[in-house]
Amino acid sequence: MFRSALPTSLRAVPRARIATTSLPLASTRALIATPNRTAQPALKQDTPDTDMPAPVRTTAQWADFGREHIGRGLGRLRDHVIVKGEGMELITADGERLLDFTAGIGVTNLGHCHPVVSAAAAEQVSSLVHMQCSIMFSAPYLQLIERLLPVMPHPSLDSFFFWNSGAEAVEAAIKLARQATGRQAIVCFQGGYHGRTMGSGAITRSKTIYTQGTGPLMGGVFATAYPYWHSLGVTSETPEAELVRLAEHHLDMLLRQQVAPNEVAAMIIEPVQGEGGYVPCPPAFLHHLRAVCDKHGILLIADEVQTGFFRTGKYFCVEHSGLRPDIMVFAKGVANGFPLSGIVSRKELMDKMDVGSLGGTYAGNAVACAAGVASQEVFQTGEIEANVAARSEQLYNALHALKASPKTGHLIAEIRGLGLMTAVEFRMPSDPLTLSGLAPNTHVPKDIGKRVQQYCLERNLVTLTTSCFDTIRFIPALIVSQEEMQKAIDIITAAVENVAREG
Amino acid sequence: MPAALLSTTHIRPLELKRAPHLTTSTAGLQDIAEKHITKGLGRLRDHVFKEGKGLREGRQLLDFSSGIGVTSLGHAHPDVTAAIIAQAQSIIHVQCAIALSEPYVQLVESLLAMMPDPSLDSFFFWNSGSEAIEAAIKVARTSTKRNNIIVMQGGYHGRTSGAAALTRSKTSFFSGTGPLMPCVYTTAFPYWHALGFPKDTPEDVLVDHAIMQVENLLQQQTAPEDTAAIFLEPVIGEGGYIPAPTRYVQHLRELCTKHGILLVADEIQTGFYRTGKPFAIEHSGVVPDVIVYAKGFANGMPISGIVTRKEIMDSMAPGSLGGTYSGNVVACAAALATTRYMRTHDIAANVNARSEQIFQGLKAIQEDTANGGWIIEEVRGKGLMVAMEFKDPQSKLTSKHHLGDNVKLPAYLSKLVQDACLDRGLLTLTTSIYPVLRMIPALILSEEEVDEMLRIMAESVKEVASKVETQARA
Repeated sequence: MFRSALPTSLRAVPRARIATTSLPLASTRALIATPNRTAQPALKQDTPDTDMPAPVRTTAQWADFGREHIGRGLGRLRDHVIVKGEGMELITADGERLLDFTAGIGVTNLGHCHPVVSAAAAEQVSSLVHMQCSIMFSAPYLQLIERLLPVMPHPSLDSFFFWNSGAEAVEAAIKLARQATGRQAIVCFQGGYHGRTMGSGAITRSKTIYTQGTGPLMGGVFATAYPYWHSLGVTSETPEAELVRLAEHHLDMLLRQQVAPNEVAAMIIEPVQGEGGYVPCPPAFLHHLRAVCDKHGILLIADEVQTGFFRTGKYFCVEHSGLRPDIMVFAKGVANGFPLSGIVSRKELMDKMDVGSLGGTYAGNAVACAAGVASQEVFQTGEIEANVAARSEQLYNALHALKASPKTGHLIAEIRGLGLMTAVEFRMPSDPLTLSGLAPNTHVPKDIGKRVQQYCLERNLVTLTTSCFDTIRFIPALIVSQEEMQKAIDIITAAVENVAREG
Repeated sequence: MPAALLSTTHIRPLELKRAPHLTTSTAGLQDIAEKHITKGLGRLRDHVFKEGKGLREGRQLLDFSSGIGVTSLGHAHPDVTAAIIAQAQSIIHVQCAIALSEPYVQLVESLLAMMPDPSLDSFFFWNSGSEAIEAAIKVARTSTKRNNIIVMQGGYHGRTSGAAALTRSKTSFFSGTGPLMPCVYTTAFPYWHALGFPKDTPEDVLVDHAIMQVENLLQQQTAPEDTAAIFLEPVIGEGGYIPAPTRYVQHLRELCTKHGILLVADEIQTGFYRTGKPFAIEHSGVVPDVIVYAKGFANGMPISGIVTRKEIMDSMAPGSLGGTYSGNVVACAAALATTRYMRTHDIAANVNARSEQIFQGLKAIQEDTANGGWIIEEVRGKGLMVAMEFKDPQSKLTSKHHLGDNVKLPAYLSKLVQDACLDRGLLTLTTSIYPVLRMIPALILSEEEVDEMLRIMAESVKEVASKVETQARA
């Protein structure tokens, strides 16, 4: 559907040795009998209920099987079975091509199976997959640090620890903050999302589904207001300075009424709230937090799990405001789909941790690190920044056109975001706050976001909603081309117009 | 993958004076590590590993750790390598709450066939063992509508807040990082050293004692109707490699069934033939309500999961489980290849044969008191989870020796032996707060590799013991 030639930037990358040979399983049988293995395990006779090899199943059968045996708790947008990914495309087992405007929730920033990343992973896999990080080093682990050091948003960020998921990295940040300060309390923000594990779930305030019925969670957590009109209970016309003032006021109240500043180990914030609705944090508020933290010896943690790696147009989102965090958390875009996450802080803080207090069997998997190294190569040699700027301008222009249009403007409460982290919040007939500025008796359809998402999906454009408000988000890979963006814009526009027409 | 299909010509290359630097020298890499990796992450050695094949790594280290029980089929097993490469060129990340991927569903199919009981039929994948444990906590609390969780003294379940709150093997995993998740209660496990009983106490006595403790717990600390689950490792791992006696496991099963408490078997380290059966809980004949697994089933790629009955899993509302990376497609492909290998080769026979060879060999070393075997207090374990507990000057139970009352043994003889082994090219690990050395080699290890290990172990034990003896005489 959407193809183009190999970028020249890839040819310029020194390390890329693209090994495209994939060894079919059958041909590797001979390799199993290696010379120094004399006690050869015998072939087991298949018992009737094992199916070796797997029987041929149709897509429908696989989907049925999946529904039957995958836990209901894992919700799923669709029961498509995806077999391949190329750049902006997902290909289903039935051969349908989907235009992916999710990047797997902001992960595959370089597009699916970027050749440089796949090649690096393939090379690493034949060499060493797992070198447990508390036993010894693996070369890719160290090479990734080398790649990340020069692009840290502040030179003080020079000491690393890798884990597997964003949630785990958030937990590492909490451990670091508590050990380094000797304090327990963590301040988080209304609407914030940091993960699904007990610790990261305890500081998550975007939706109850992630943790409902599973508490009590980790203790010592306090939440305060974020400068977002909807959660503050004011209209979207409220000036940013007022939103900031209100949020500062609530923080002040927290520290006077709920938890003394000298008991707070850290404050943790996403520079653009993700699952909370794609709400960029006003720089003035970030700098206020920095000042409050400096005053009281509190550490400021920037959760860049979704905003990092050029998602918002810069390597890291804090670069927009110039904020210096004490700890930065990253994941998602770091290794273009391989499970890798980490924290970075200054050595002086990291050195306060007891030896052995960080770890994890899989942490810093060598293949994921090698993919991470290759990803940074592409980030650092291709002008991703320029493409993000151009494509995001293209997208915002289209979305603002929808807001300005008399056909569709009344459906939209706000368009916001930063770079290619973009969202449209729709009005909700049940929520008067979203109806401000509308002429009285204007009919506002229900469930606009879900219906737009559904319409898009029927035309093979995959998008996601977010937050407990009616918000749809667009997070395509950062390598999205002008043509691909235009195609998506056309579908989205038609989708919104369709809902407006349907009423 | 055809180069013409993926395009980013619209991404202009930057004009850089030189390409970003990539260090490859060992000294250079170690320097980066010293300056830029957190001190919180301890490390056995500062070797930099580039390659692994089977049980060998780089410059000829015989790996009896398999990365803490992960690379069950040895480093870079060809089947798994091929599967990962093929998958990495196809698709790497299909977010599990957006759509399914083939390897994800095929892995479920493969695992289904390995389950110890047909009741275990509903799956969820996450990335790490810790996360899978947290999923088990969520499922237990949601399905029973209760808060409290019972864990074993000496148990280890992970480093994230929830998993760490269940961990009772060592404080270093979570010291200074609390408060953690509340509502966790600890009960005694039938391990003589933790109970404070002599080493030769009959197993029945240990089991009776542990049973009495858990019954008391349910009357004094956490009422059965408030208790969601009991978490048990069928062989305690980080707590010292102690197999759970069958009668104890069966008693826990009865208790759980009687009170509607879920029995959660943490098989992260014991699963996938590590103890000679597909799952270690099978040794006791008990069917748990939930199994948690990770480590050995994807030969090094990060994937973990839980399995339970559909009726239990269905209590979880859609959206209550997830995670961006969970069930990574490449990791699923690796796990699929690994489990398929295990299902088509007699892994159990090799595990049992090598296990017998190892235990016989280590017992022989222990009995050879003239050559240092006296420093070994107990050899124990199951299958290819093997431990040697050494004498401990800090323990009233294991500090006695023949060198005279005024001679104090070194603390952590286990570490000294580990160092001596490493000097001779054998990689082993220690574990627990006691002086325990453990070996957890790949399941495909050969008779020759075991012989080599035994030779090195005998020499190392002899070296360490004779140093102690020499110092005593001085």
